[in-house]
Amino acid sequence: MTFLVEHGPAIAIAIPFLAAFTVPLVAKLGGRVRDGCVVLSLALTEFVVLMLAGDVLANGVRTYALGASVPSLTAPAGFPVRIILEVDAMSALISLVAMTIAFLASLFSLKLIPAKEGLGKFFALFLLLSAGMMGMCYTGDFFTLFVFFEIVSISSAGMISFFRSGESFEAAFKYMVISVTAGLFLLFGVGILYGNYGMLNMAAIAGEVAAGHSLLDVAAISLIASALLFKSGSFPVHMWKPDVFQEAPANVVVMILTSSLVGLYVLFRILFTVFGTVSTAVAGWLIVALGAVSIIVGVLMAMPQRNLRRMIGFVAIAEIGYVMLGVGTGLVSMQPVNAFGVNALSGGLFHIVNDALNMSLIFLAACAVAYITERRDLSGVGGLAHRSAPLAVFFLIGLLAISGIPPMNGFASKLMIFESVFFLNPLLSVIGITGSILMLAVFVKVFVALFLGTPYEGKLRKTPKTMLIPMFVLSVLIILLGLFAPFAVDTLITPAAQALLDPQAYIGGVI
Amino acid sequence: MISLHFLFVIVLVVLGLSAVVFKRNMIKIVMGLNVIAGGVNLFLISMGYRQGAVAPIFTNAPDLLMVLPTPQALTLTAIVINLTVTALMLSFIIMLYKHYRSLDSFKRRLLG
Amino acid sequence: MTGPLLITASGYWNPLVWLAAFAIILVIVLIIRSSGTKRFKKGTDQTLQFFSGNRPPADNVDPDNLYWGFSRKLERYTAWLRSWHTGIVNDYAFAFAVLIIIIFAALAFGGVL
Repeated sequence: MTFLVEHGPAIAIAIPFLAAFTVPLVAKLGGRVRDGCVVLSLALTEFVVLMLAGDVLANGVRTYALGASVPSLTAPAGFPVRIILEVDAMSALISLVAMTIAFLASLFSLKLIPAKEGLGKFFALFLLLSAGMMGMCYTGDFFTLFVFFEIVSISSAGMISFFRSGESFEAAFKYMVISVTAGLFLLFGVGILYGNYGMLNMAAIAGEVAAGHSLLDVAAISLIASALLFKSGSFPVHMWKPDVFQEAPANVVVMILTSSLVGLYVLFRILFTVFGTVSTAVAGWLIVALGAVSIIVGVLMAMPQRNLRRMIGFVAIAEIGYVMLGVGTGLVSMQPVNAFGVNALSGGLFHIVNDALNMSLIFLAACAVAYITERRDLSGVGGLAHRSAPLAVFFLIGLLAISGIPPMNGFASKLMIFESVFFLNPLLSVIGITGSILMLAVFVKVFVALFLGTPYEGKLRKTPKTMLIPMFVLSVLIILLGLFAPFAVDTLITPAAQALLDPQAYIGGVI
Repeated sequence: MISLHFLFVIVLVVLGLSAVVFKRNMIKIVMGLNVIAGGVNLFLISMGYRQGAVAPIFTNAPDLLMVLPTPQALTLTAIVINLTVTALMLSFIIMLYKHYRSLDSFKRRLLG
Repeated sequence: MTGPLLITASGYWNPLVWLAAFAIILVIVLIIRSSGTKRFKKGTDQTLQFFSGNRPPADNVDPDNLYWGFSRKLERYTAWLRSWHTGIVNDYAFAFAVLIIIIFAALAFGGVL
């Protein structure tokens, strides 16, 4: 056990990587072996991540220097030399979310995709994407961040085009072009930081920033921040999101949704930890403004959509906006820290968890409907509640949670965001609440169209257990997080918020 | 005092970006991305250049004063990643051409 | 008895208390509902939607379309927004370039970082 925790950061990245390259080989032995290998490796990773999170919450920051004789030997000459992974409460939280969603999505995908040739390769990409997300969560240095960023982009693009229709290639190409642009500018920004400080380690740079920062840092941060904002799909680089949501397989969409939250986490890590000591209110206001516009644009664009998947894509943009609203307010009031800033920050971080769970549940439910009716276009489907009650219940839970209806988890985090953002500017709360109401309107319309009314006449497939179990787990998590929100915030979210607000702990882990 | 190679970096990146933004031919978009990548790689490699320095091989360095090999490692990795990405995008373009019979980025079906 | 509270900046939130209140209100609603009359008949004009006593228009408003008027009124704004979302990859890259410039300008003129 101590071995697992001590080497946890490396193991959590290594397991999915190893599995990614063994699964195509193992797939030759048959479908069951392949599925077992995928699910088992992700479950193992989930276990490691859980152990690591427990350790980090109890004992503070854990660093891991790759290739060192002792994993904690990060700076042998007072200068960080190796690739360093660093886990604190914040990265433990986000990796827990990412890995949980990855595990559930892998379960969901077992029956979703018709068992044709190439499923082994599909799972290879799926595991690569999981490994890339774990890497982005745990990385403590800028260059590895770039590498994992590209791994996430490449494996996502490969899976987006899985159905091999013209539209799916179009979505994949668009995603790839913009993510390559973003990746190159991220590398450019990293290069500028390297030229300025002569090192790539985040913690070490954070220690140097306070002494001498200049306009070059601003250039670097604007390049890096826009690349990460692209990955999270905020306004104005949100356009790839509806395209991808419309065309990718359901489990891939869920993974991309989670990778966008991971991208957002890296942005917060850089803004709070690396440049936290010198950041002015402007940076926070920028995040707040982009978040508010994302909410408006996402919701207004979701209203007139005819395609359900595309609509959920726009709602996902709005949901990202809520996270940015909360965390941006935390950044505005970071120096000096005041009470509503901490509350807004915890609300935003709590909303990361809730966003991942809620959006995944509603998207998986919608795709399960597409699966049992065997059609991609759901326009003629209605009255499914009479024939498939569990799906209706899951969709309803997801709908209530997304639109922030008590007692679901979405309500708790949105309440925290609205009531604390109010002190920054009341208008922001107005935007947030209006967006929430419009979201409810949009989803109620979908619910009525899909599940109520005259029963669907056509043939229905049975919903496989591998689809019901992930949706059931997600619903249970949503309800538990809603009912015991104070407990969850105390144990998971507040340490994460403190980790972001106190860069010294993160810096001290390395130097 | 800005050095000449940094000027080239900026020229390359701006040229590449303008190709990505203004060219309608998808292959030219990918070429634009490669030009940006060239600029960024030039930037990284010029960051690691030190006049009169020795390659980081222990046995060759006269008094253990060597160049830090990090920028070279970065550039190599970036080149490899860029190659894979280019191959992937070009294969997407092949498949797109098979379905849409066009290389024009304005011919799209996902919009609104 | 109330358990832990979730402190929001201007108040607090306790889901368990909300649940208790919900249960009580649900009981009251069910009592009121049970005192209603049972005159509903399927297949009569009772089940048609009410449209000022006229036959409901079948040409443009779908009875399932809950927000016909609502989305009609918002169309002015959504049409403007939709015209941005061209779906052309060049525009995506352009938006990315604009984002870099916005962030750089905001941070550079708002004090260095």
